[in-house]
Amino acid sequence: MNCYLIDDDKVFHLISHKMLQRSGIEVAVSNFFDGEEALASLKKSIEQQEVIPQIILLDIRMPKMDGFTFLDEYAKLPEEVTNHIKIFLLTSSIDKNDIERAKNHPALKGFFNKPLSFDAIKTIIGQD
Amino acid sequence: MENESHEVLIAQIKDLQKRVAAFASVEQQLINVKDRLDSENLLYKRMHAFNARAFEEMTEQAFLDLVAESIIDVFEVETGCVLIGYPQHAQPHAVAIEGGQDSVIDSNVLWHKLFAFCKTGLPGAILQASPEQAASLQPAADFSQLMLVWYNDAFTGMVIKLLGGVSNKHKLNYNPFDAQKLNAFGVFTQHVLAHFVNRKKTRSIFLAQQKLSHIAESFLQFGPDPLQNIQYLVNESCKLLGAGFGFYHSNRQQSFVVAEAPCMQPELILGLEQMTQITRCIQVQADAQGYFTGSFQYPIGHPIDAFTVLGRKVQLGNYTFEEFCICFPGKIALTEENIHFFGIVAGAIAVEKRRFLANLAQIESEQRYRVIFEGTPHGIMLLNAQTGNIAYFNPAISKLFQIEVTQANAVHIEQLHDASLASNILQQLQEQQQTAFVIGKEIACTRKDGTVFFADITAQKILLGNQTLFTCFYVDVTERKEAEIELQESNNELKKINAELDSFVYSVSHDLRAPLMAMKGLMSLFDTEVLEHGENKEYWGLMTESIARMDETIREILDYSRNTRTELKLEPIGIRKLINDTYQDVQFAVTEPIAFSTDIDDSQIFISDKVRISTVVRNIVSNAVKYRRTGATDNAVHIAFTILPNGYAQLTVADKGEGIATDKLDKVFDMFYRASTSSAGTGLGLYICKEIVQKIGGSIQLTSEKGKGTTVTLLFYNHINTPHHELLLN
Repeated sequence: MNCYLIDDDKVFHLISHKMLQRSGIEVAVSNFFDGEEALASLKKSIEQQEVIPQIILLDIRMPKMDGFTFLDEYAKLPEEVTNHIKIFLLTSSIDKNDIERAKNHPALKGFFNKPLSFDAIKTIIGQD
Repeated sequence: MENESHEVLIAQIKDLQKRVAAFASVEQQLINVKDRLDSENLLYKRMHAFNARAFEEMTEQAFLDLVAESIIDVFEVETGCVLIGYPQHAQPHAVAIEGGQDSVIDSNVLWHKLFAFCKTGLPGAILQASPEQAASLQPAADFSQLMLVWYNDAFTGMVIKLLGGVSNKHKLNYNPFDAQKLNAFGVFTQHVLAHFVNRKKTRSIFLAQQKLSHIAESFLQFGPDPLQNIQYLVNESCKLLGAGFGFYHSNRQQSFVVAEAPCMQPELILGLEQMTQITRCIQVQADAQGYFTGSFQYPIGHPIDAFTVLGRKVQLGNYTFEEFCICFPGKIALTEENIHFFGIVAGAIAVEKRRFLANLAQIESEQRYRVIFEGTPHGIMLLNAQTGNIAYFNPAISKLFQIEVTQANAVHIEQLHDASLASNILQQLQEQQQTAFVIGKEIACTRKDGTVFFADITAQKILLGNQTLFTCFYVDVTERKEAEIELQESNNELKKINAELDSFVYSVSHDLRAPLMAMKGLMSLFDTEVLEHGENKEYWGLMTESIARMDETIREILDYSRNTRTELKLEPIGIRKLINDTYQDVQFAVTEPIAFSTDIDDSQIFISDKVRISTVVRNIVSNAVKYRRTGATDNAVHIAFTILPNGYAQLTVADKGEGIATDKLDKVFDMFYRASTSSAGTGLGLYICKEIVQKIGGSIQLTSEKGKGTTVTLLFYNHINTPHHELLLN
């Protein structure tokens, strides 16, 4: 399984990576520190028909391009590609606006608060 | 044969001659009729002329002259004579005599003769003297024809004698006294009598008018000031009457001198002053026209004994006034003429007085309106919508527009407004059907110097003469508008600050929470073997607890901050799920058993702010769990919800926890107050709940018993009838 971790905090890259590993899933994780970087990579993979991720765990507050902007850009990508991607918000935000906005975003499959828990991973996998 | 035919011929001729004669006779008769009709016509025309003139000749002498003249004229005689008088008067009042155009009679001689003839006591109404009779009457010897009409009027007792005559030397064959003329003579006499009797009255009016005609010219000099006019009338009248003359005015309650002539003597003025008392006690009888005369006696010892008044009662509005002309005895005769004169002057004065009073009222009312018009801070102007010309404007307009213009040179609306606004206003006025309407609110008016003021402009249609004009009112709302703009600006500023604060709180909470969650995540990665070493597990537990506490603090600060700043967002709330989810959330970390029960009636729609309700519910339920009796096995939480008949939703959260001491109860809603040390808390939870309940409408009550448990009763206003939710439901 291929997974994008998009977060500006490298500690969370570590935590999420470890948690995914400990949950016993075979997973190849690509780390990105902002939305722009991740979007560029994703677009490149699509263009060059390389492997695209099945799962994206996305933070909201990031430099350069935040999570919601990334989602808007993501929504512009071809549907035949995005249909195969499950995208989840993984954030430390407990802001009600963020939660509402995430719930209403059509591209999103779910919303989790950091840190990533095994319960959350179960949901992510279950949906896969 | 010849003879025979000759005789026949002669007979025929005679017959013809007879016929011719008969025709001639008929022709003559016709001519006579025509002549008679002509002369009759002429006669009555002349009598008519007499009647017309009789009204005009107002002196007695002129009237008698007219009668004598008319006798000559009407009856085509050479001389005419009239005698009018009463039987007891031996002398005729007047005699007139006139010679015809071709008369050769010495009129002086003739006058004496006629006069003597008139005095003869001949009986009978009408006498035509024959030449013999005329000769027998010595004075009339020179006359070929004499005619005398003698008329006694039974009603007035007056005697009228008319006499006409034709001299011997002339018109010997002329007989003007046919039956027709004799009849006319009789009629004429009666005309003369009628005129003479009536003239007694009309003449006095005429004479009064004549007197007045002297001052009539002065009517032309009447000025706009009625009081001056009255004074003028009094002065002139006084001169004419040759008497002390004052114009005195009384309505029985009040008496005052309207005007007095300068020639009035001090005594008379004194008299006027005393009139007040006199009029109070004397009821003066007036005739049908309101005129009266009277003499008043002064008290003994007064400089003058008595005086005479001429007066008139006049009605002015609801009041009856008495107007007096005062005069000294003997100085003014109470003749009909003078009374009429007074009446006319009094009438003229009354007119002026009425005008004065009306003016007074008008001046007062004008002054009143002028004060308002000129004193008001609102601009008022009178505008012609067709031409754009401004007929009037008040000082407020010049102040508003800061223009140095006078009424005289302010002519056009474009002098006030720029062309586009001016034409816009004019167009509105022209198209408007209503009489009073609003032209515009908060209209930005640019002055000529470029500065701007704001005005509410209204207009009212008025009809002046046959011209339709508009009164435009300008209410300066610049201050209000500026205050509004200022308010709007500060409001925008506040919104901006609020948004910045919102964003700040968001950033802070996120930035604080992110490392916290990183710590939490890292701790979950700890090797369980490591935790078994020494006191590691205890430290680990305390760290986890610290992280949880800090997390809660951040949440609460965020909750508080958002409650104060965000608007209500109303929507239907699935209260059952909200309560259950919340309970599951908060009891997650608790290992001890807690009996949880609910009694939820969600059969009615409950509408409120979901985020806020959920914050309140989480706080209260979390407290119920958090402040359980540690180590006890019979902890319980019971949550009940129902919509009350009064429209409020009631939520009760009852626990069998540690409870709160009575003396602490009144402080639990205070900011940062913590009643318990048994669990980590910020002291913000209940304070936030109270704030939220206030915001969404409702109340919060807490009862507790130390060691037994706490019950929190919340009432939330059900916004079922608040229009907002309609939008959200859709």
